[in-house]
Amino acid sequence: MMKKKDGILILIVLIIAAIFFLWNQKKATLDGDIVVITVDGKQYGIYNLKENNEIEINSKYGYNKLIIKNEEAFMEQADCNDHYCETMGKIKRNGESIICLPHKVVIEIEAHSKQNKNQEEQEKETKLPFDAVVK
Amino acid sequence: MRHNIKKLIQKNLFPLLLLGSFCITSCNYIPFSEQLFNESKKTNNFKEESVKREVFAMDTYMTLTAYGENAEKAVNLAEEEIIKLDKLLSTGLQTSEINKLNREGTSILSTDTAYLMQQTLKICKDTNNNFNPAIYPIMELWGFPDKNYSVPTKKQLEKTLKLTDISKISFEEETGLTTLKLDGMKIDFGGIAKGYASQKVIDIFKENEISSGIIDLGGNIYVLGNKTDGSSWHIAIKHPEKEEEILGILSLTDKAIITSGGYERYFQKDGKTYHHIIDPSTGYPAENGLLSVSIISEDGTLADAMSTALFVMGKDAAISYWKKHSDQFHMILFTEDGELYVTKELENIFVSDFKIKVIEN
Repeated sequence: MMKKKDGILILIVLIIAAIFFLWNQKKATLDGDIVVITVDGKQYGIYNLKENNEIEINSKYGYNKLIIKNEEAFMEQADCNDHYCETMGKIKRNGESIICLPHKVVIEIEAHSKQNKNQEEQEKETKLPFDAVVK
Repeated sequence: MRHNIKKLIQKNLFPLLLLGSFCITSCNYIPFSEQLFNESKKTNNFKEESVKREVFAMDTYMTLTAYGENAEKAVNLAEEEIIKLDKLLSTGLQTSEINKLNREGTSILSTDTAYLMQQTLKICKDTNNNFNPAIYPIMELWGFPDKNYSVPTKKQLEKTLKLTDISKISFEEETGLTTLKLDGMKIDFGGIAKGYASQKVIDIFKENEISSGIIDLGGNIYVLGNKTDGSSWHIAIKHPEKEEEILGILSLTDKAIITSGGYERYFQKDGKTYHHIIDPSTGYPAENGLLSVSIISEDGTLADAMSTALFVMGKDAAISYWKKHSDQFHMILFTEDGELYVTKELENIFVSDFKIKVIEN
């Protein structure tokens, strides 16, 4: 009697389920540590540290190329005059950053497993034993 | 009707449950970028507001963080102040007061610039010329300002050192009238400007009743009050030679902390490394056995200048200078031999894996 309609409903539910499943998957991949890029204080992009990637950062200040490889991020190339950011090495821990002054680019590693944990747990997990470093 | 609904629910219980469960696991998902944006810019956690601002100024990257009701306002005013100071003090900017003074040789300085002139001349005398606001022509010779590095000849240095004689600067404190009496003399407040800016920012925070905050002006750090949980701020000091390591961690409240070392900026030529902290008495990069000097003080301006001056002096002279001024600042010295010295008052608030040698006054 309702067989056909049942079938359609189940199909719809399965499609919705599949969409949610994929959505959650995507979220899960972003759940670990992430690489946040800002240019002149404005967010340029967010990337997963655990996924190899090559990111070209183009702005009115210039061009930088960031590589994410083996859960580490480093600046491979910049068309500025000092190339200092290329010598800043690889970053992987939360709070570490690469800064390209001439292009006002800041690359920072941030923790991102915020969803299911309370703030205290997060802090314990992601916090360095200090608040800042005198360089 | 009622019967129908019940029947419908019964018949479709499984798919409905399925749909429900997926909704529950997924519905609390907030777009990722939005979440992050909110966190880094502004968080309202019940009673305390916090604002973090990134500023590019004074050739460096700065972060200003304030907690409290007026955090947004305080940070806005602080950012304006930093940009104002940068425009006054930048050597490279044609329209700056310093550029004008260096170009024309004589000028009436405004309040901020005059204060820095008065302070740097005093510190230059107090430290026996180990900090010198007129060192800029030497810096240019080495190519530090435009990063077009070269090693000057001894003759060039000897000639140029004459231009760093501060007795050839006339400065009237009341009017701000300043004259550089030798042709080619140039002033640079680069060794004190960030420290002064940190002081001004903290003053603005205090005027706006901010009781907790931390500012980092390119490694020049000032902590205001304690953290919002009541504990003191923990500030790590970078190891000057090992990228991944720190010298130790300080617990601080209401203090500026600034480190100077040759590792900050340098270039290499013919296998030799030349760093940017020039000894005003020789014109060469200071080589006095120290790798880094950290100064801790309530006066951010003083701390900035002292970190440079004491780095140039070297360990023994720095220790005897401190003994005469121990009421003004605390310090941490790290030597080329890997020794770590801290002054008496820091002993109990500094943790380190290194063996600490305490300097008594």
